[in-house]
This record gives sequence, C-alpha cells and structure tokens, in this order.
Amino acid sequence: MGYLKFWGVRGSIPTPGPSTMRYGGNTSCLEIQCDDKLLILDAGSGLRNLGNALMGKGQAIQAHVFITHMHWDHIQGIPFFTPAYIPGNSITFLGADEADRSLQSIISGQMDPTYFPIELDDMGAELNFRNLSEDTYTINDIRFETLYVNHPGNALGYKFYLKDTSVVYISDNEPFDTSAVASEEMLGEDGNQKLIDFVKDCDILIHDAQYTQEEYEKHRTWGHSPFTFTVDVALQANVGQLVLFHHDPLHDDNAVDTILESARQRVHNSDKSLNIIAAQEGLEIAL
Amino acid sequence: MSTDIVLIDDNEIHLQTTRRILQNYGFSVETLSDPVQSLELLPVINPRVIILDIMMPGMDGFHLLKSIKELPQFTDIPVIILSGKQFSPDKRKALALGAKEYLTKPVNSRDLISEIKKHI
Ligand SMILES: [Zn+2]
Ligand SMILES: [Zn+2]
Repeated sequence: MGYLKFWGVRGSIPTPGPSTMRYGGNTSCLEIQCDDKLLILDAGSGLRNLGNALMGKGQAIQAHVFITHMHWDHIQGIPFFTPAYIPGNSITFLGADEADRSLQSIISGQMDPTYFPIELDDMGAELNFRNLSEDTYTINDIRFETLYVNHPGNALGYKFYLKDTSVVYISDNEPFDTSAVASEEMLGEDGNQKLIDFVKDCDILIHDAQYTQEEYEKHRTWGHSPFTFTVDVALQANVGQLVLFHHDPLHDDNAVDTILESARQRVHNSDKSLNIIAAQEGLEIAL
Repeated sequence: MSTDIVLIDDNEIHLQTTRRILQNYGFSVETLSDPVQSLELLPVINPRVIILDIMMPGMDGFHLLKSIKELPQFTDIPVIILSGKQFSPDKRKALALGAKEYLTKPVNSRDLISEIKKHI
C-alpha cells in the first residue's frame, strides 16, 4: 500500500513557463510512500514543493533521500527543503561518494556561504549520510540494489523492492557504445546487457529518455539516452510499465507528447506489449 | 616468476579475451574480478602494470585507484584505466588520481598494447 509521486521530471535545469505547464519544469524529485516509510529519489528543485507538502501534514518527518549523482539538477532542492530545518526531523542522504570527495562534502559544498546564506551545519534536523557503491542493501527495512550507470561521476541507478512492487529509477544514463563487441581487434564488452539484467522484470521502470534519436546523434557523450534506447531496454527486460523521464529543457509539452507517441509506436511496431507514460509533475502511481 | 600485467574488471568474458590477447603478445597476465579482494592480492602478485575498469560492484575504479596509489609499493605503478565511460570529467578525475592513461572501451588491441609498452 502506498504511492509514487513525481515532484520534478525535468533534466539539467528548471524550466518554468507556459510551454512546460503540463509536464512541469522542476528538476528530478520523486516521493515514495510505502508502509509508513518515506523515500525521496533525488533532490532537484521539485524537492521544495515536496517539502512544503510534507510540512502541511504537521508530523515529524523521517526521510531517506536517495541521490543518483551529484549534478546540480539532482541536489539543488536541498537548501530549500523546509523539513531539513526543523529539529526533531531526521533526514538520511544516500549516494555514492566520489574518490576525492564524500557525499556530505559535496552536498554541503553547494551551501558554502558564497552560494547560499545558510550552511548545511545550520539545518536543524538530524542529517545522516550513507555512502553507497554498486551492491545490494537493506537499510531501515528498505531493500534495494544499485548499479553504476553510464553518466559522468559515480552515478547510480536504483532498484527498490517495495512491498508488492519493484521500482527501478535511472534518471541519467547513456547507452554504452556497442559498435564493436569483444574480438581480437576490439576489446570491450556489451555494457548494456548489465543494465538489462538489472532492470529485468521490474514492475515500474523510470528511465532517462531525454532525446530523440536525431538529437542524440548530436549529444553523444552528454550522458543521456534517446527514447528509442529506453524503450528497447524496457522491451528486452520485460518491464511492466515504462516512465519516460528527465525531459530535455528544450522540449516543450508538445515535444514531450511527440516523444511519448513515438515511443508507443515503437512498441506497437514490435511484437510485444508495454505500457508507457511520460513523467509529469504531480502524477501519482499507486503501489 | 614475476607478472607483467594485472587486469581488474568485473566482466569475466572481457577479462578472458583481453588476457588471451595480451598473452599472445608475450606478456604474463593475471586477472582479478573483485576490486575489494584485489587490494589484498596485488601486493602478492606484484605486477609491473595495472589495467583497471571503473564501474565495478563493491568498489568503483576511482576509489580502487586511490587505494592502490596509497600502498607504499605501488605509489609509482603505471595504472591504465580501461572503462566503458567515455566522459571527459571521468578521464580528468582518473588522471588526477594518478592514472597514466584513460582508454575507452571498446579499445583497439593495438592501442592498448602500445600504451602498455610505454611502461614495460
Ligand atoms: Zn540529471
Ligand atoms: Zn547528471
């Protein structure tokens, strides 16, 4: 029993304005309420509205905030997360340390006085930090697996085993180059197979689908996927529902509609079936 | 007998293919697929060059590279990164942590050999 709610679905930078009203302009943030537990996936600008909604409930807050990686669009909501300022609340941030910098140092770095008037140490709630690598975990009865994904830095994908539902969240990820599989000439492996194995048979897959195929050709090595790759992974991994995520800041609502239509057409053209939606601010999925 | 090269990568098929090719060029090669365990085994194997993947379960290649370089006997060992990640921030980070070179998979075996030959 519970739900998953989208508070931010945009990639890279917030994009408020009339052309993004339907899908929303806030950067990555999801809320999962399940069995009295609050999981927050990424802390982009959508975290601010989530914080305000939580404050409205008038209860002490215990949250686990799972960060995919430390790029701005995934942590910029933290200074504006009101529950973190309230004594008695407890917030645990989880994510991958970088070899030269800890999770805590990276998060507090964006609250250096040069950038923000209040420092992390001044936040009133109890703040905890938990370093993750690629592994299987059970933390506070939350069972999940992580996977390093193809994005700059130690970026993680998450697979959560909730009561009746498995949810995979991969906000930012680029296909590996599989133009040459292992041979005498070219050494390497099919890195995308590891992704498919990780995603295999999950109920809900939320995955980067930032570009069209044409846009992707111009943005190789930017760390994001064309929706065609995302659909193909979901089909091969036999997922229940695919949610297209991390919409490009240049895409207005109509452009996202077009990608969604094309993604559904791609499924139609295969001999398989797959339910696809595009992530939308305010959208709630029952768990 | 000493070992020329240690390959560290979680993908067994890639390890076996690469080992076979390097052996064909006359190098003695050991493979390790567990990054955490490799920290214990490296001092025993005592290689001349390490070839290291980045995205590995248990410990990522950046952390492993840093830990290897902190072992007194390996401060100066040549480490070649061989990663599927083709991003320049990752390359800069690996070089800053002491890697000699950052090569991207799939790599042409001739390019890998010529990089190894700079150090052996
Ligand atoms: Zn992002
Ligand atoms: Zn990013």
